[in-house]
Amino acid sequence: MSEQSPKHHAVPTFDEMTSVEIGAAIKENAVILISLGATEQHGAHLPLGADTMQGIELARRTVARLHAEGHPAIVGPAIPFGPRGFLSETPIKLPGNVNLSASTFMKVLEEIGREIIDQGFRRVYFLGFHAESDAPMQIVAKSLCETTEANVVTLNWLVGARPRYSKYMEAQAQDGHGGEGETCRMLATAPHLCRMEKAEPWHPTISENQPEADALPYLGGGVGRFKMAEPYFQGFTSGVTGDPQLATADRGELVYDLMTGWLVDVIRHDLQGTEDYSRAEL
Amino acid sequence: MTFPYPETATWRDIPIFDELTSHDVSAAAKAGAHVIVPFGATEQHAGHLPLGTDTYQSVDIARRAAATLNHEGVPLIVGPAVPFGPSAVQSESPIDFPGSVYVSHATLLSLTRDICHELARQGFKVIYLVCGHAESDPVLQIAAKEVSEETDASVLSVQWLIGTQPKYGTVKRAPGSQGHAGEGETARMLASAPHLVRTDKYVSYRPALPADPAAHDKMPYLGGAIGRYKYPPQVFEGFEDGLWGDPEYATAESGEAYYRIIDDWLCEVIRKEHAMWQSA
Repeated sequence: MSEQSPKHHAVPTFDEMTSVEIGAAIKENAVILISLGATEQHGAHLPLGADTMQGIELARRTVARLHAEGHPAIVGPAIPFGPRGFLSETPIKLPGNVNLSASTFMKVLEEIGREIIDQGFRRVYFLGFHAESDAPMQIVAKSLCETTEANVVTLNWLVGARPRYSKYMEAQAQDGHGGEGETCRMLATAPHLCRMEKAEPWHPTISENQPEADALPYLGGGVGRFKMAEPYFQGFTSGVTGDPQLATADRGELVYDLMTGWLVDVIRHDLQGTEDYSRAEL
Repeated sequence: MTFPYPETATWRDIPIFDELTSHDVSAAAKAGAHVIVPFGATEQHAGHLPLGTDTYQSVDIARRAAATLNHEGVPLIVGPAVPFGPSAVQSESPIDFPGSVYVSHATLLSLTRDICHELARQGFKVIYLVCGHAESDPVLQIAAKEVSEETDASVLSVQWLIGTQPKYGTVKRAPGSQGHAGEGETARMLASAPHLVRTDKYVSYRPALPADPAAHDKMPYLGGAIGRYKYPPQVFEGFEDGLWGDPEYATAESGEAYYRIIDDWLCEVIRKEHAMWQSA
């Protein structure tokens, strides 16, 4: 719907590319975007792979726009697993979750990063799409920067773009896991997988007078709180936080555009400022 | 000083964990006290501040919170301080300096998890991990999350660098950005341990960061959206002293003012947490 997201459906995922094409991307010193997803319940209306699907979609849109500006870039291998959900966001166990410990996740991400870098990629971005991967990806990016020639950067769109897209949301209340924003994006990405007749709202019972910056770190907050006392989760059964029934595909497109705009801006700045990461040493 | 602390106790009276007895700890757990565990580092802080700068500040932040809340009848003890953390990010300190003794992220994660499990096993229900070394921040988040899942305790990671942002600038006097061993840290060390500040060794330094960064291009431990761990070499040209900022603007009074702002925020978080679990 927008001229700002040119032909992202034509951008291949990593699995769809050939070794020869990857070799050509390395020769061009292409940017590579590794999306961090999850296999996790997203209420009754969204599929288990919602995080991974959105992560790949955002990577493809970003790559399409970078190409349109003449910057070589590819979608890297997406990681479809992440750490367990925060108990302060999802306090009950629901079927379908296949999560990793943070230590295992960090090993997986570090080894995938090292494989990519060993092959010659020098501009690597970790694109977080599962809140619980946020802290681990920071640690892995730092370690890879210290031990390789590559520049590995973590990108958290929840801080970088979400504050500006709230104008597209209809709900006034807090939006979270499987909520309006996520459902809008899934309606844009994979409408056939959205069971909209099953989309139901839920909102936590929030106490008044929150301290300054009382939000989880992945939202830019200063308080990592991983457990809540009752009655915060009163009536929580579906695994959803927010108002998914309000979601539309059109606004999913607008939200993706905003997110893509921020990511492309960050990467464009990096490409202007980090010419020393050229592959002169290879 | 034994637990419970007299209402008149000042922060300088509040014992660190090593100064408590087993009986004190037992009494604190029985009284439903929360524990605040200070995380520091053993790391170069330029020519003017000691290697333990991060640990000193974290311990003092924890003692001040314990004193403030003790005065209000909210029991809090200072847990065992951890004086080690992961190596400095290259995007803030790209060269090695003598005196820094780092541990890997995996080691700190393991250590933090074990300490939290020990405290939870002894009956403490709410544990705060207060970050005094930026590189420990994601590790503390992971440890707090995992031990909250594995035990009855609620473990929180608290990042005052984010919590105090709206007010922090009201104390700052130096014109430019202040980082490692800059005005803020030097001021707090002048308030905590003035005898360890080599005021004759002050120098100023600021890296040549891109003038026009993308939106939210700030490290996650500061509430930003981009984890950046490397810059091209020209950004840190002339970086020899291991600091970022202007320590000469620091005074002991501004150090006290920074600590007050931190204490106000941290105590508000702990007070709310205490109330939430009390009413549950």
